[in-house]
Amino acid sequence: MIKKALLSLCLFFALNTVFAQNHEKAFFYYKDGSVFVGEIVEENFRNTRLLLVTGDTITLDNYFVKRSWRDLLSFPNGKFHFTKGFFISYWQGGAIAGANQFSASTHTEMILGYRFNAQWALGGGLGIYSNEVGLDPVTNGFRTQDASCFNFYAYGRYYPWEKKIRPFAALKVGLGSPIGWANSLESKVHIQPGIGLSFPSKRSARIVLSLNQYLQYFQGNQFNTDIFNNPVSFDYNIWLNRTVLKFGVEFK
Amino acid sequence: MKRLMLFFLPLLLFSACSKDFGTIKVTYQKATAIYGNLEEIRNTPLVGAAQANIENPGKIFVSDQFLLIGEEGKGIHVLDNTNAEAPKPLYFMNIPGNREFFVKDNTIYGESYYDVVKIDISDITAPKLVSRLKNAFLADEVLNNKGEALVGFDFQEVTEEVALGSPIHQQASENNIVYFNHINSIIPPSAVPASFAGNSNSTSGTVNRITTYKDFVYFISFQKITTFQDNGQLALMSSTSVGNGDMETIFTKDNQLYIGARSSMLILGLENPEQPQMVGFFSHPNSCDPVYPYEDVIYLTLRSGDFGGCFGDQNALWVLEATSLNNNVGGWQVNQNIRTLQQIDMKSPFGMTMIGDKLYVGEGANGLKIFDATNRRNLSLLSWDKSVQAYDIIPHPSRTDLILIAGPRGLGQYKISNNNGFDLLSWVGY
Repeated sequence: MIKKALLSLCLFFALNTVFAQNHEKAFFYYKDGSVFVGEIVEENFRNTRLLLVTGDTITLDNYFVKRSWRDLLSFPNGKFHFTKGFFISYWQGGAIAGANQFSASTHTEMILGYRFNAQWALGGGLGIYSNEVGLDPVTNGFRTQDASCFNFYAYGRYYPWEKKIRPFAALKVGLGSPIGWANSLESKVHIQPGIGLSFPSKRSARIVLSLNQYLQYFQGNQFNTDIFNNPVSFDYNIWLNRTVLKFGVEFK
Repeated sequence: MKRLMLFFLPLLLFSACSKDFGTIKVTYQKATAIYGNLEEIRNTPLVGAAQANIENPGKIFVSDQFLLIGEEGKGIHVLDNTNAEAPKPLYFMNIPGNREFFVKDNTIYGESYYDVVKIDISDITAPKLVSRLKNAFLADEVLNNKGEALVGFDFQEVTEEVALGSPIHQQASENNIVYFNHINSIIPPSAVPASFAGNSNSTSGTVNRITTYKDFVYFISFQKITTFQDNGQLALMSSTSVGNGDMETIFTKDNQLYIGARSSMLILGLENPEQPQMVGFFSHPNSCDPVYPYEDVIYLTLRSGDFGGCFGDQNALWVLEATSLNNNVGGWQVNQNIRTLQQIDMKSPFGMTMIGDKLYVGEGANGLKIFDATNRRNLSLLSWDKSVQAYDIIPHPSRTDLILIAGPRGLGQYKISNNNGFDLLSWVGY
């Protein structure tokens, strides 16, 4: 049963990948303001042959091309998504208030990735996660403590459909290094599955939006004294678990 | 738009799952409240039978005639010291709930649970309770359902696993109180196990929580300085929050109070002795520390790690200079007009005292250091005796050849030899 499911999943991804490649377009902007959209049939130093949506093939003189975007999913209003190449994105977000009032998080992330095709992108990133957590019952009555982290992670993104506003699923898996109050603790694992939307644009930058489940593991010991000067030790074994809404800007 | 709606739909589902999980294993001293009849406690006879053992020593006072050694929470052992070679127990002075006491002339000032007491010891064999100011630190006693007053806590080490989101975690998070917090009200335990209140030659110890100025008496808790006036009877004058809630020691010099706190040194002016005002503030690394102003400099020890929850990584003796102290500090003009002259690395510095031109600094289990303080502003180490464990040191009030050292295992009276060594004369163990 599991084998069948995995096979079906692989088939789904493979078909999607093949299907997507048939629709990749290129935009050519001439110095006089003309814009040509089509699939590149042939390309050399001097000329580019372009298959238009009408079925006609035209030859563009590269001398007149001011700028071109390739490997695109384009749409009638001139907006597009890239399907290949490097990208870099900056994200900012925060936790959505949940049941626990001491679960504030603000996230700042940078991701450097590479799009292999219209479906798959892989990369890596780093982030600063400022978390508030109620952990120290003596000095703080389990109230807010800063349990921030500096994390490195691997990043993967998958686009199942070629829509104008492209939904995607993403996953970050990495290691955290606590900073602030939590710096005496260890934070070994950081997992962040999420779903998102990528909005098309006519330029190299586009808006992205995602909803993530932020899971950060903390482990370790801390010591304190109570108001009578008696020692108190804490043995932490906890997962921060926050739903985080993020906005980002992605370049290329 | 419909797609965006579909995207945001999971927000509702996810937000319900947005709860940290896991456990915190907490090992702590569980405090069980002890209640008692306060009137019975207040009527305890002052003089009790001499006790053979000193179990939990606190403050120590030295005179030509006698020694006073505090028994934490119970009172004071009174010993005949007319023969310094062989002090003899006289009796036990019952002051229930007492941790700190201070002796000025022939008067003991101390706290007794909720009260402040004044005891006349002009005749040490027949002490008299002169004044008791009831509920000096709290407006009302903390009572249980039976009308008994909270008089302390019994501690037992326990380990409990607290799950995030469990009822106790929720209660602590939302109400912030799972215990009675008297941090601001009653004198907390000293950060030094046994230390000198002073001697009868007006030399004060450096690790006190009580001091005097003219006819005013000052008590410090972690957060508050409480001022009493002694016009025969004690009267409460003021109670003010000062500093960062980490005050530990107080010392009077001229018309100023020098307060050692875990994160700072505070200087309070006594132009209006009823209401001391902040005139100086010096921030330093977190540690336990007494402050010892002497002539035109201030000696400050920073200790961490070995007793009483003194966190940090500083073990040092600092020499400071304060200039142009004034009432305009407003409390928080950090380190203004106070500068560091010298920093000396130490092992675990506790109390200190100046005898002649030598500064004696107790290093706890790491011995006793003597510094040449001929130049008050630039100390140099003369000797380090690791055989004598010293929490605090004080000179004998009249015999210049004697020094008293309070250590982890007892109080020793030593004869000072010419080469800065110590010959044990007598020993009161605890």
